[in-house]
Amino acid sequence: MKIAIQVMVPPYTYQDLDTAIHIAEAALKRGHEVTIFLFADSVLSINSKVKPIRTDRNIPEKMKELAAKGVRIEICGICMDYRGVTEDMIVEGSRPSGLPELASLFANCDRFISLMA
Amino acid sequence: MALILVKYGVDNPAERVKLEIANENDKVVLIQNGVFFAVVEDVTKLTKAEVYALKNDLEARGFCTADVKNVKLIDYDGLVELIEKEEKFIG
Repeated sequence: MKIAIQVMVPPYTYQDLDTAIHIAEAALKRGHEVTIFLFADSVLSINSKVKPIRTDRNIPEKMKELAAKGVRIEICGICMDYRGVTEDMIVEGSRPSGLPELASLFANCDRFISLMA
Repeated sequence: MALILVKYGVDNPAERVKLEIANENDKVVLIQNGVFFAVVEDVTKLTKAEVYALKNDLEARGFCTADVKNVKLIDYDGLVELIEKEEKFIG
């Protein structure tokens, strides 16, 4: 099954990115194809310059690990521009994307999980 | 029918509307602060839908199985199972 998860809120301030990561991991284990679409403030979650304290989880690092496991991580390019996140800052495996790609996700995925703001 | 995710707490009016409009064939999953609905209220009075709560988020807030009633506790695997079964989604 193709499962897409859309996130909108910033990491650490809210739990949605953790929720999305856990759902993606469980879905991968069950053999599904997973895409995470990062919209609005959630684009901060792929900023490789984020440096949490050692005892806390490193969300960008987790996103990188997910990408390495085959999860597609698409980032709204305009949302990146609005937040000063440039392509050289994003974690390996994630890719700048946009609304046309989001529209095609709607059309092509079997399940669309929107974690609304 | 539909999978309805409730993630905000008991003071969120939109979440109450989602619970109210859900019907018998829908599945509600309480995640994040949504788990408080199962702790402080009787969910059977709030919704006609079958209600599940994410055990991970319940325990992350210091509650356990004994603190909730009328909900089925699931893990992320169980949540993905519901995502597979329910074609429609309301977030």
